[in-house]
Amino acid sequence: MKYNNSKNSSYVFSFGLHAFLLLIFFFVNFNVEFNTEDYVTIGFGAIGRTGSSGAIGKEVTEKKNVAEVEKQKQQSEVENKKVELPQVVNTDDENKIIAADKKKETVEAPPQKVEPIKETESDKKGKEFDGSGEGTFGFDIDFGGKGQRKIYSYSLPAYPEGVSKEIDVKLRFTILPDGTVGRIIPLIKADGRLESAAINSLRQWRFEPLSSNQKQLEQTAVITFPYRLQ
Amino acid sequence: MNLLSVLFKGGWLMLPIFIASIIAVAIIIDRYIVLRKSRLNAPAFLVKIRSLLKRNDINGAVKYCMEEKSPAANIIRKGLKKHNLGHERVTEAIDNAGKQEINKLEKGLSVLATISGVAPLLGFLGTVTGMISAFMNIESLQGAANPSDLAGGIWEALLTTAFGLAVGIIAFTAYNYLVAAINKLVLDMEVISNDVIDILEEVRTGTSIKDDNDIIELDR
Repeated sequence: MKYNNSKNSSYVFSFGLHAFLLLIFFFVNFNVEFNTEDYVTIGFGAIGRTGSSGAIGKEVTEKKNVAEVEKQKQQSEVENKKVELPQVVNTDDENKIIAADKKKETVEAPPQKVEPIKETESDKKGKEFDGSGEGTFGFDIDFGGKGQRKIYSYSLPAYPEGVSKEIDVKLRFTILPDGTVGRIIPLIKADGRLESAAINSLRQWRFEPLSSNQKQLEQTAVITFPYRLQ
Repeated sequence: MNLLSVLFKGGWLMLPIFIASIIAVAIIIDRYIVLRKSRLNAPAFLVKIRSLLKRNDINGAVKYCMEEKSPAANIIRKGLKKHNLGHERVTEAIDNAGKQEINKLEKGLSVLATISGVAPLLGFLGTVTGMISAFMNIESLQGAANPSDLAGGIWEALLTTAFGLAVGIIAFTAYNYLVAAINKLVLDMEVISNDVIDILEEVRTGTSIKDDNDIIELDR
């Protein structure tokens, strides 16, 4: 009976069909592409407030100079103190004549203490650092609640010399799919030197590249650099 | 990531479901081919048989049945072979042959029904094992598990369920289709065999029980 002899061939056909399906599955890429938010808001530092604007971040280039200067200052202060302390200790321990030692201390101490204070005041007036060395810098990147675009590296702008303004420099910029910064457009017209410093530092920022699952779009972000005097 | 690597994330339980899928498709193809070959143009077959039997050409009718190669023709052939042994033996032979043919037609359908029930259950078993592995992960990480730590178990759970349900749905649909088709075929076989028994009785007694026009009512 011919109508009952198709069993083996049907098994072969079924196996072949499944193998073919698996082969198709091998070549079909399964990517769930999700939309990226094309507008990103970045909150940077203490926006809208005056005074100190936060602590040391993890920036790469510009920050090192400020940190080195601060270290040098700290070292010089420490050295001064190291010189002072033995004298005080020695006078207290060895010489029990109180009147003579107190005079020496009062005479020697003031010039040593005054000098660093004068230096720091002049430095602050002349250079006018932004407050980037202290406090906290919060990088708030809002993706509309759908994830985050991580910052791989960033550099903070140095406060240009000769400018004594406390302003927020607001820049709109595009983040390219590979994580680099594209067009930069200043939103608020402020001091040109502060703007160019901010733009130059922003150009060096690197963001997390978009994954292959995401639509490769340029994302727009707004960043505010708060320049503060200290 | 291609679809094949996604399927592999379903774990070892994907293998029995995959094998069940191969078996189910094989049975579906096999039964479909058998049913297509078993189809018979009942009115034309009855007209031909009637004309042959009225001429008392039993051998010609048997030859014609052998040429047709369908279960109904097979049943009639076996009945006609017992023509000399009387009406009851013919009826008995047709009954027995009918049962055999139905059994042949339904061969493999029980396996298909089993697969249609078991494949989704295997999928659910995969869900349970996947969830177990996910919770074991949570425990091993002391509750500090992030979604990516649980993804492996959840992949297994969802994929086995989806694959098991897909195989189950295909098997169940095909099973119902095949059962309906076989029922229709069995009904035709019963009608044809009854008609042939009547024709044989007519020929034997020399009376006309049935009008030729009645045969045409058998629509296919």
